[in-house]
Amino acid sequence: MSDYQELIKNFERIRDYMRQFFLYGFKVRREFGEKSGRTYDNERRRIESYLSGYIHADYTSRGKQVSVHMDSKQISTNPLYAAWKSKSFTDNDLLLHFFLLDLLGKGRALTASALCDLLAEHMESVPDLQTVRNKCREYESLGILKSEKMGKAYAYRLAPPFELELSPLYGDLLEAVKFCSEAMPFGIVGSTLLDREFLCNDLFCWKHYFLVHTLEDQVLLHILEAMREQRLITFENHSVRSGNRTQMTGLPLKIFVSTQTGRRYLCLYFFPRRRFNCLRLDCISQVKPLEVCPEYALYKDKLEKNLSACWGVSFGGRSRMETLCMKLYIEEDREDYILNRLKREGRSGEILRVRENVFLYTGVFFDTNEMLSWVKSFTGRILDLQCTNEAALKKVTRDLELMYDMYLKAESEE
Amino acid sequence: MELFEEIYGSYFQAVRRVLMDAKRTPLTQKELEEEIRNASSLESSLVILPKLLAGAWSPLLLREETGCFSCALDREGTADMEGFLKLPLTKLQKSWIKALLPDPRFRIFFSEEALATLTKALEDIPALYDLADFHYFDRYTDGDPYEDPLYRECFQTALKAMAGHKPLLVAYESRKGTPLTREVLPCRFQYSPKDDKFRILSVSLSHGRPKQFHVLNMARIRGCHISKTPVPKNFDWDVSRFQSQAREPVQIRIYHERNALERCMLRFAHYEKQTTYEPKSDTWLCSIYYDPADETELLIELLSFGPVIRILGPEAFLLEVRRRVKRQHELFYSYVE
Repeated sequence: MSDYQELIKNFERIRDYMRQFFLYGFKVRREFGEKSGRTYDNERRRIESYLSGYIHADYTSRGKQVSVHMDSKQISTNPLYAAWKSKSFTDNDLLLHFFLLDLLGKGRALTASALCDLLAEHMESVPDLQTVRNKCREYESLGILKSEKMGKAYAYRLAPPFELELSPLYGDLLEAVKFCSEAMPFGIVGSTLLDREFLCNDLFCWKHYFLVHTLEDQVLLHILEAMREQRLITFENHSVRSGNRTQMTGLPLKIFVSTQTGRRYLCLYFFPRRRFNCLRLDCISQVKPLEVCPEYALYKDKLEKNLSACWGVSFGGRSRMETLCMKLYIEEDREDYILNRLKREGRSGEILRVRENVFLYTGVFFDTNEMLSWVKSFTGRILDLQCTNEAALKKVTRDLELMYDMYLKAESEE
Repeated sequence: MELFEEIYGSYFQAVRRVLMDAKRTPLTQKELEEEIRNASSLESSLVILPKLLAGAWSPLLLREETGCFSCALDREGTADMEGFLKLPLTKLQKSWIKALLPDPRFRIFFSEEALATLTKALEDIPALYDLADFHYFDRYTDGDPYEDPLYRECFQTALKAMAGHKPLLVAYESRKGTPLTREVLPCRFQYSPKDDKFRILSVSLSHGRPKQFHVLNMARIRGCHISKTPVPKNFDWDVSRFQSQAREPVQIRIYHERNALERCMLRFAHYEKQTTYEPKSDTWLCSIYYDPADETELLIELLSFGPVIRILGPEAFLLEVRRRVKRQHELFYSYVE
């Protein structure tokens, strides 16, 4: 492992490994089929460093098995943010960073060549003028420096402090950032704001926090930029089931988010199929913007009108709308929490009290197949099930029978 | 815009911290080594330390006659410590803050006046994203009433108490609607994106002494104010000590059907768990460690997987699974075995 470096140049390189380690935890070296053993060792070492304290290694007959042991209720901040803070750089990048901040402090404005002269007083080997100029331009594009014409050249100064920082309100804002850095989209940006102040989240903890999805944030940002400009995009979609990688083109319209798994999907309109479709964000890479779509607002509006008919992320098959009716036994006097569950989890479905302790839930959605997991969560209470999608009805009824066989007929097997 | 930039990196952060400390007081080599170890991971410190002491980054430090290291920057000593080597906010950071503004969960931290100031300060900055870009399709619909002025007032008071380590006197409505008053030490807010609710993890005070761990639903607080009761000496505000795990994990067998493995791994990703593959049966065995307070929720989640997983134990958990499955069979087929 002589070529090992903790920092990485390309985030995509670590994205898939990190996801697999974090989610599965039990994969061994030879199961990471796409890359070499050396790559596996390097990525494992990197992840062990980022997640030190949460990594366990077990030796099994199949080899060393690395796993992540982490209860999201016990953590304050997403440890996977460490991956975002691991970009490689050159020695000159680091030296220039600190010297520029120092030399341009106190409102000074200097040209690249003046900066070079001053750097010579501090550094044995001064970077050439072009390197200094490039760094200044890079920092200008990030919003750190401002440029102004000084004679024939450009002089650079530090961007003025954000006026908000000078107000006592900034302290309150940082408390909100402690929450938002974990709970809002692109929380990693909030984490960099806290780093800047040497602060950490000491006020909030989490329940149902799905940490792994931060790894998709760069892809998400590129998609949102295309959405803002109402552009089509082309991208690579990696099917987890088939392993196939396909180049696709579509109009990105919305991000669907599951708060129950943390998974995020990109909803696109595909012109050749004339359909909306959702694709998993973790399977998407290499997003490139294409031309502007003049009818963007029209498709967006169509999607908005369809949203209430989506149970999850499916827009269904040929039969446009499907109805599922579920009659449940709920003791009104002492099981109001079940009724509350039905209300808060039933999305746009209707609830009708049929008689004492019997309630009828009716939902009309594009794809009732997506509802079946939810239906099974009421196991032990379902009096009757009806569905216009017969295959879905058969599937859930069969599942309930199989569960009976599994837990009550075959008790001695396990 | 790019999220993956070296300026946000942990190495830059560690070096900045060390330079600040070395500016305050020159550091011996031992102190410097310790600073670097504190400011970075073990693996990172092995790279940073030699580079700063004698390598390519050594121009940032000055070795004094005493052998101590001081910061080579700001030799005139005119920079204020607060802003020393602090980057101006980047475009990315500002536009992220701007995107937060319309979010009702962000707004509960501020008064209307403060929100107006924030809006004005950020008016020329484009938002990184729009709330309407996201559709949270399975979020529970009985989330907290973030727009309610009383809720906001109580949240801000509780936040103040928590940040200032002060006790809070709370008027609370129990699940059954009974009014209660309680004096608590608010340790942490707990937020669930699925429930869309804030809860306060707290320890009640009785005659000035810590008594019992309580979880207060923020939405059930009818009023609160910071109390003057002194905080017990040596009170430990770390709430993780109250978040226990059940003695035995729930064990499940995951079958090679309907993508069950990936679905399980995702669904239970927020629990601590351990999974092993059993080549003989071509199945996976997964142990899920859970807080006993979440037992029913976990049970429901496991049942939703149907027969593509099999719950193996512990026995009491399995008994409840069997009870529900049996009852379901009886409801469908109207007979009792």
